[in-house]
Amino acid sequence: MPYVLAISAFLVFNNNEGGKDLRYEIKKQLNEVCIFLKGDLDIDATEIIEEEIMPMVVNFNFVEIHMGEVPFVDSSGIGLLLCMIEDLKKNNIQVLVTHIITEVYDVFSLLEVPEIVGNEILKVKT
Amino acid sequence: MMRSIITKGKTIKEAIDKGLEILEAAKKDVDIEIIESASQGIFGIGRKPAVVKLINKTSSDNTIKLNDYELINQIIESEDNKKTELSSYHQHENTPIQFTTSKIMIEKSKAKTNTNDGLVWINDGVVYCKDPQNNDMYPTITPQNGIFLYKNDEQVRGTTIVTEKDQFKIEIENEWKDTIWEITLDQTKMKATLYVKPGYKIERKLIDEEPTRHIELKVNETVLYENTLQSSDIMQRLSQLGVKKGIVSSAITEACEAKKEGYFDIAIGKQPKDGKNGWIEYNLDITQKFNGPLERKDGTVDFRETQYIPSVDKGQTIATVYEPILGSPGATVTGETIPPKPAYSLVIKAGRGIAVVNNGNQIVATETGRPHIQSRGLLLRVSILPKLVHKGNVNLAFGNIRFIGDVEILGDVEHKMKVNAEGDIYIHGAVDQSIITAGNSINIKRNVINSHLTAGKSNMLVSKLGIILGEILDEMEKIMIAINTIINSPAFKVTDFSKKGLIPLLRILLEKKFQTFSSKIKQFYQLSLEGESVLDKEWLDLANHLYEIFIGPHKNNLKNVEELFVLKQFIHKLYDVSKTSPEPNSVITIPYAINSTIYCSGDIFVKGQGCYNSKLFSGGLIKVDGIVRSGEIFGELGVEILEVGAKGFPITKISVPSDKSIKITTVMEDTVIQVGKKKYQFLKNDTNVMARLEDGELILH
Repeated sequence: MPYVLAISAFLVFNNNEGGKDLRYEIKKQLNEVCIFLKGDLDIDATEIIEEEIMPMVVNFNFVEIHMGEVPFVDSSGIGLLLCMIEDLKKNNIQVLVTHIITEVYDVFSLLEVPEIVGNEILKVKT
Repeated sequence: MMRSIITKGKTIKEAIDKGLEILEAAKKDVDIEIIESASQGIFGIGRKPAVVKLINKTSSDNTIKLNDYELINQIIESEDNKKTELSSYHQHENTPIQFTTSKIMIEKSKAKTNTNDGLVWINDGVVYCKDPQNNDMYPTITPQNGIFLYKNDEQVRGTTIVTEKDQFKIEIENEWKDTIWEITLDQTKMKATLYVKPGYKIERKLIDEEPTRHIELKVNETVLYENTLQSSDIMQRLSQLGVKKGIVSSAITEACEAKKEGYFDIAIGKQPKDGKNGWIEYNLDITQKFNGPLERKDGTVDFRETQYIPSVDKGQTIATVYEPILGSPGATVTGETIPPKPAYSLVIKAGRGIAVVNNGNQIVATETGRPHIQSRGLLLRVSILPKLVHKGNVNLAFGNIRFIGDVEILGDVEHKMKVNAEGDIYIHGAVDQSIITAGNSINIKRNVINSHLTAGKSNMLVSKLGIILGEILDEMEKIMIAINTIINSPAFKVTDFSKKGLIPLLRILLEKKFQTFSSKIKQFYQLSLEGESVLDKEWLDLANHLYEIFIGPHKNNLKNVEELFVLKQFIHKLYDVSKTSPEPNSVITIPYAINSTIYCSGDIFVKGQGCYNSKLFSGGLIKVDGIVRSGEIFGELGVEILEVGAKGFPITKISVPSDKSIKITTVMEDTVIQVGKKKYQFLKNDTNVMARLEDGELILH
């Protein structure tokens, strides 16, 4: 029985449907902020990112986007991330994207995202 | 027979005769003894007989003797001990005949005569021997290879003595090999070949030998080929391999009966029968023939021309278009269908003055003029070109000419004029400081000075567009591979494809990874716009489409990878069209050019003195019957010049693509030639140059 459950769990995980809406937590410290993203970075996260997170982070000098709990991304989600990074840079705000899961970083590599935003900005989860 | 006897008689003789008679013998057989001789007396008184004794000579001692007559008859059949019987016949006088018999044992011998003592022989594969008399030598045998000799149940490898008392066993190895066979399918599954090597039996028989002292046991080999292959075996194996069609039973039978090894094609697939593309048949000769005015050696021009320019009237049928004939599919031996090569229809583009009627089967002129047909592969563009004949010169007073058909100018084109025709331009005079542009060909009978000639502009544009499309196609291929890899990444979701299509993904890809792609799309778009007037609609449509998808404003979105694939297919089709040379291609024919630029999508012929300080660019061949001094020459299909270069003049440069050649009869030093990427400058004069690349190296002769 546990064997069967293990398999179905595996299937669910690899379904690529994810289905987890993006949530976030904030940790502030002076003019530095860390955004803990939790869930899939996909098209459904558009509103949260554009209407909640972005307006908020522009008030800081340093922003860390913690992606430790982001298992899946889609092309729109990556686009959102790219937009965010670009906006922050435009506003002279330092940005770091950290704890990126290996598989997610692989997708970034394939799209040459490190070359777009700068290698130093993206950090893989070790 | 009695042995002796005494007899009386009147005389001795009478007594002897009497005795012989009784003895039944002859005189020579007896000894005679006279006992009393006969006496006569006196007057018959006192007469006495003779008395003799006869003794038989052949008897001795009065004993009975036997006459021996012996006959030995021996028959021996088996190899084992067998008793033979001796019988002898004895005959005795006055006694009945008596038989006596004696038995003799002989092993493995069959003596025909009594003289085989101490010899061994082989008869009918059986070894026989006879012991020698007294203490003579015994016979010996030696087994050769392949013979196993057992003497008294022990194997003998070397020479051994043979006696009648020994028990011998001979084993001879016979060999046999099975039939080997194998069926192989060729790569294309169009043939199944059976290899058979029939099996064989080698039968060995002991060679007979005459009686002799020593025998080497040898064998005679007979090879009997035996093909054990059955057609049922073959059929079963074919079934295993999935071979269902095209089985040749005669070959199978042949293989089963084969006496020696060989290959047999036992299944042959059916090749597909290719179809035939659609084609066109013209109702008139549509090729122009120009044997136009020739410049004589003395410089004068002979205006008498023999030329044929096809011409049609309104309503005249020009040609009939035929539908393609479809081919028939073939089949592999495994039953897979092989589709025939597809057969395509001609695509007719009706240009000016043309109507396509009768379900696309007939091409009819709706105007009067010259039918102009240009084909690129299966694409046919037909239009009617009217003709404008300008009597006299083209000059400022008259104005530039712009015409949708052919233009014939009987005089010169004077400076700074423009002549633009969609069809052919034929100028009887000279051209000075002017721009001549023809959709088709240019033929100028006198010198071209300080001018710009372009023929087949649309062809050249299509070529250029084709090159860019080729690059776009390459990039698209890579983009598709990248997209597929990304989609299959474990952490990637395709959930936004249904809402936003491929755009978000493409945008990211085009930003960095494929950053040159956007500029290529833009380049393509620009060039198409430029040639809007001469190009077919498809080009501009595609340019717009690509621009919208990849650059913006993204009205036309690709929803998924399949759509991207379809787009790529469409681009490829147009690319193929661009790669097909148009038939007929444009041609520029001039006698002499000075300080001019000449572009032609097809061949350029300089038939007179040559060209000086001019640029010639051709999508076909360039052939100069005169001298080329200074300037640049490039021929896509090759260059052929009589004489190039001159000391003291600016350098002349001749180039061709890597797979073509430059032919020059006389080259002056300093001339530069280039084939592909390899350049060469002549350090001294040269003749009969045939420059080309071989194995990447430039060869001059």
